[in-house]
Amino acid sequence: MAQTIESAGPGGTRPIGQGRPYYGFWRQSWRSFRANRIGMISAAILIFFMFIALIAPLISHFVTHFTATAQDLNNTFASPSHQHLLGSDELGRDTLTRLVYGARASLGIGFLTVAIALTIGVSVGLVASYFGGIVDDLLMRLVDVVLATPAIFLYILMAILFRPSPIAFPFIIASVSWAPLARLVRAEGLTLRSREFMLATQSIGAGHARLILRHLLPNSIPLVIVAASLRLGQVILIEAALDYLGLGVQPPTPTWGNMLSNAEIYFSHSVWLVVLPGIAIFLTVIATNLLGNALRDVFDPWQSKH
Amino acid sequence: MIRYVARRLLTSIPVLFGVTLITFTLMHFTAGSYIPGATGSPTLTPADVTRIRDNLGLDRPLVTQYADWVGIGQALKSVGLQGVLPDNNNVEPGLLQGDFGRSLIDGQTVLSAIHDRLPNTLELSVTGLLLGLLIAVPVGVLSARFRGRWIDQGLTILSVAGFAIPEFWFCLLLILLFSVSFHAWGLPWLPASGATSAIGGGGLVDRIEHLLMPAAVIAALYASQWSRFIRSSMIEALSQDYIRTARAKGMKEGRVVYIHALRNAIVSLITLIGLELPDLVSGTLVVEVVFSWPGIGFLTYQKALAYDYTMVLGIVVFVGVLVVLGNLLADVLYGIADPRVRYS
Amino acid sequence: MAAALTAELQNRSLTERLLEVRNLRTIFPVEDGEVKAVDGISFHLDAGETLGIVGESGSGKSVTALSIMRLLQSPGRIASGEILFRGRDLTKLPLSEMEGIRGEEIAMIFQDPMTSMNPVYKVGWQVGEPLQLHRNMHRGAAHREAVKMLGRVGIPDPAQRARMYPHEFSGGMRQRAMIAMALTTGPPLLIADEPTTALDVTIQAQILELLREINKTFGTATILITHNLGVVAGMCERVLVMYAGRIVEEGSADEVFMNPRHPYTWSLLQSIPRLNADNDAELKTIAGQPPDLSNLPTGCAFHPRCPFAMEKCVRDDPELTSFGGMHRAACWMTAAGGDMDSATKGRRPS
Repeated sequence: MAQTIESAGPGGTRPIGQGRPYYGFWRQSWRSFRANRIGMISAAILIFFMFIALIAPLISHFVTHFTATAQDLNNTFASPSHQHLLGSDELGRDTLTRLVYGARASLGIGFLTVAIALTIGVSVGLVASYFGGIVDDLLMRLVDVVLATPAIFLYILMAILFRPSPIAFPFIIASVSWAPLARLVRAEGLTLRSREFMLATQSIGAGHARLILRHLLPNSIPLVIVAASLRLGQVILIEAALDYLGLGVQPPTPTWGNMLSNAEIYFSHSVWLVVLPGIAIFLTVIATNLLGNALRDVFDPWQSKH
Repeated sequence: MIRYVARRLLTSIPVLFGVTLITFTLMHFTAGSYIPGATGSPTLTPADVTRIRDNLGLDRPLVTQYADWVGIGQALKSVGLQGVLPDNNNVEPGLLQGDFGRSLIDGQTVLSAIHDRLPNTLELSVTGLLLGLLIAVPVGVLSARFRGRWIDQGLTILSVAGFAIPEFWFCLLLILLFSVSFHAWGLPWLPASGATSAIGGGGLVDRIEHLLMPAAVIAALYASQWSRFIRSSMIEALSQDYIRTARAKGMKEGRVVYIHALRNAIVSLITLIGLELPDLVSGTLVVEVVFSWPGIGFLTYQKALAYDYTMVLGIVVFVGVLVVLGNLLADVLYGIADPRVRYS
Repeated sequence: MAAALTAELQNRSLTERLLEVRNLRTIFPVEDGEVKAVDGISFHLDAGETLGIVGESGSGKSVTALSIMRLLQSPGRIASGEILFRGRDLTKLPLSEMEGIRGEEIAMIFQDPMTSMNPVYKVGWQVGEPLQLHRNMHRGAAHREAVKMLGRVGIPDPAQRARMYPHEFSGGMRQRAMIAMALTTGPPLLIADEPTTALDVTIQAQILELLREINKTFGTATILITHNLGVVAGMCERVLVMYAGRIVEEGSADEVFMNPRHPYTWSLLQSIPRLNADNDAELKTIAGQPPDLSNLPTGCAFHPRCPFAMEKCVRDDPELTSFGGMHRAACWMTAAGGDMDSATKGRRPS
C-alpha cells in the first residue's frame, strides 16, 4: 500500500516519493552526490591535487629527483624531456617539482584561509541571526563595512604594512573573506530561526548555546559546505593574484601565482612556463566551482532560495 | 520614494564611519605610526621621519588623531569648538574637507593623484561593464529559453571557465596572443600597455586599440557571472504563475519571454549591477597592472611597491567612500526598477 | 455587446456543442514509469452552461483544464483523446492557432491571483493586454476597455485602480481583476481553476456571485474546478466528480448531491461537518490516502478506501452506468442496485 513519507532534514520537510525507500539526510545526500557525475569528477580532481600537495617531498625525491629550488644554469628553459618531465624554468629549476610544491602553497593557504573565514563568518552569522535585534544590526553593519572596503586594495595595504609570512596570508585574506559567508549564514539562520522546531526546543528550556550549536548550526551545514567549496576557489584566485603582483609569497618559494610573475618576459623562451601554472590554477578553481554547484544541487535541488 | 532614499542614506553613514575607522586603525596600530621606522622607504632619513611624525601629530590621543583625519576636527574648529577634542592645537583639514592625505615620497595630494587616474579607470571599467552586459543578457536569456539543450550546456561551460580563470593569467594569454604572437606572425597586433601610445598616440583609434584587450578581460569576467545569474533569474521568472497567465492569454512565446519574464529578471539583475557599481573603481586593479593601464589600481600598486603608505591609505579610504556611495546608488536604482520595494 | 453575444451563442448551440472532450489521457513521465494524471475522461459542455469539476488534489481536475488550454508543462503531455472546441480538435492544432484561441475564445483564471499577475506592470495594462494581442488594439484603446471591464466586475474607481500595481490590490479585488482580464475579449468559455481557494470566506461568496452574474449576463459557459462541494452546489448546473484521473460520477447538481451513486461522492458529502449533528458524534473522514498515480490499485481505484468494497471491485474496473437523466456513476455496488445509506445502517462508514 502506498505511503506518504515526509522527510525532515535541513531545508525542511518534503514528501518522499511514495513507496521509495528513505535513508536519512546524510546518506541520502551522499547517494545523490554519487549519482552526480560532475560532482564526483570535480571532487576527484581536488582530491588528486590535495594528494599531490601532501606527498610533494616524496615526488621530489622519487619521481623528479629535483628540489623546488635547485638551480641549474646550464639547463634553462628546457622542454619537457626525460630529465625534466615538464621542462625547466629560467634558472634551470624543474617545473614539475615547482608545480607540485606550488600546489602545497596554494592549496595550503587556500584551505587555511577558508577555515579561518568559515570560523569567523559562521559564528557571526549564527549569532546575528539567533539574537536578532541590536546584535543583528551591529554585526550586519560590521559586515557591511568589511564588504564596503575594497578587498584587493586592503590586501595590498596590509601586505605592505605587515610584510607577512606565508602563515599570515590566510589571516589577511580571511579578514575580508569572512563577510559574505556571514551574510549567507545569517540569511539561512533567519529562516531556520522562524521554524517551529526552534520554538519547540526553546519551550523545553534549551539555553542559547545549545540552540545555536546543536540546532541552528547542524541545519546550516549543507549551506556552509557549498559556500566553503565556492569560496575556496575564489581564495585560490586571490592568493594567486597577490603572488603574481609580488605582494604574496615571495620567491624562491614556488606558488602557482608567483611562477607566473615573470612569465611574460620568458614567453619567447618557453611557452610551458606561462601555460602550466595557469592551467593548474584554472583546473583547481573549476573543480571547486563545479563541486560547489554539485553540492548545491545535492542539498537543495529545489533551489528554494536564490 | 524620497523616504526610501533618505532611509538608505541614513544607513550609509555608519558604514562610512566604519570604513574610515578600519583603515585608520590598520594604519595606526599595525605600524605604530604612519611611518613604521621608515625601513621600507630608502628615501626617508630619520630626521625626515621625526619631522613627519610631528607634522602629523602622531603623539596626540588616538581619538583626536582620528577626528582630525576624518575632518571633524576642522569642522569643530570652524565653529570654534576645537577645544572639545583633547590636545588639539594643530588642526588640519581632514577627509570631510577633501584632504585625503599626501604622498610620503613626492608630497602630491592623494586627491590630485586620483584625479589624474580616475577617468582612466572609469573608462576601462565602464566599457567592460557595458560590453559584459551586452554579452550576458542574450547569453543568459538564450540559455534559459533553451534550458538543457546543447546551446545551454555549451554556454554554461564557457561561463564556468570564465569564473575559474585567473584574471591576470587571462590577460597574459591575450597579450601573448594578440600582441606578441600576432606581431611575430605579421598580423595586425594590439598594444599591450598603457591607454595611449607613447609616440603619436591619443587619437580615437589609438585609444580603442589600447582599450580592447583590457576591456575584453573585464567584460568576459562580468559576462560569465551575469549570464549565469540572468539564466537562473529567467528560469525562475519563467516558472512563475504570471507566466502561465500570460500564456493563457494567448501570448506568443517570444513576447512571454522578452516582455513578461525578462522585465522581472532584469529587476534582480539591477541589484547585481548595483553591487558592481562600487567595483567600477576598485575591480580593475589586476588588469591595470598587467596592462600598465594608468588608472587608480595601477597607481595603488606602484605606490605600494614604493612603500608610500599615506598615499595608499588615502586611496583606500577614497575608494571605500565611493563604494558606499555606489551601494547607495544601487539601492536607489533598485527602488526605481521594482515598484514593490518603494514601500518597504 | 452582451445581447449580441448571447444571441450568437444561442444560435451556435443548436448546431454543435461548445466543448466536447473524448477519452482524454494526459500523462507525466517520471523516472520509473508515468503518472496517469487524466486517465480517459469524456464530457461535454454546451454554450452558456456551468459545469463543476470536483475532486481532491491529484484527482486530475486541474490537469484536465490545462490540457484543454494546452498549457501543460513539459514533460507532461496529452497521450491520447480529443478535445473538440466548436468542432475543432484542440489537440491537433498547431501552436500558433492554439495561441489564437487562448485568451480570445477560451479564457482561464487561476487559483492565486497574487502570483498570477505580473508584479512589475500596472493592472490596467495587463487587463487590456488580451485586446492588444487578439484584436490589435493599441495601448490607449485597450486601456479604456480594461477600465470599463474593471468597473463591470465590481471594482470601485476603476480608472484609478487601473494605474496601480497588483500588490496594491486586496485578494478579492485581484481576483476580480483577473476575471476582468479573462473577459475583455468576450470569450464563450471561461475556465476557473480553484478561483476562490486562496481567498477569505466572505470574499469567496462575492467572487462566486460575480461568476454567476457573468454567466447570466454574458452567457459565458463556465467550468468551475474546485475541491469544495459547497462552491459547486451554489453555482453549477452540472457536476463531474473526479478521482484518480477518472470521472466517477456525473450528473446535474441536484442529481449528484441529492442522490449520490458513488461511495466517494457519498463520503465527501458525509464528511461535511453539520451544525445539527450530535456534540459527541465523530467527524466522518475518508479512510486512507490519495492514490499514487504512478502505481494505481487494480480494479476500482477507490476500493482501498471504500467502505463498501466487494471482491469484484478489486478485480474489475467499473464502468459508468446510467441512473436516469444525465446521472451516471462508476461503481459496482450501486450498479447492482446497492444503496450506500441503507448499507451503512448499523455500521460506521470509516
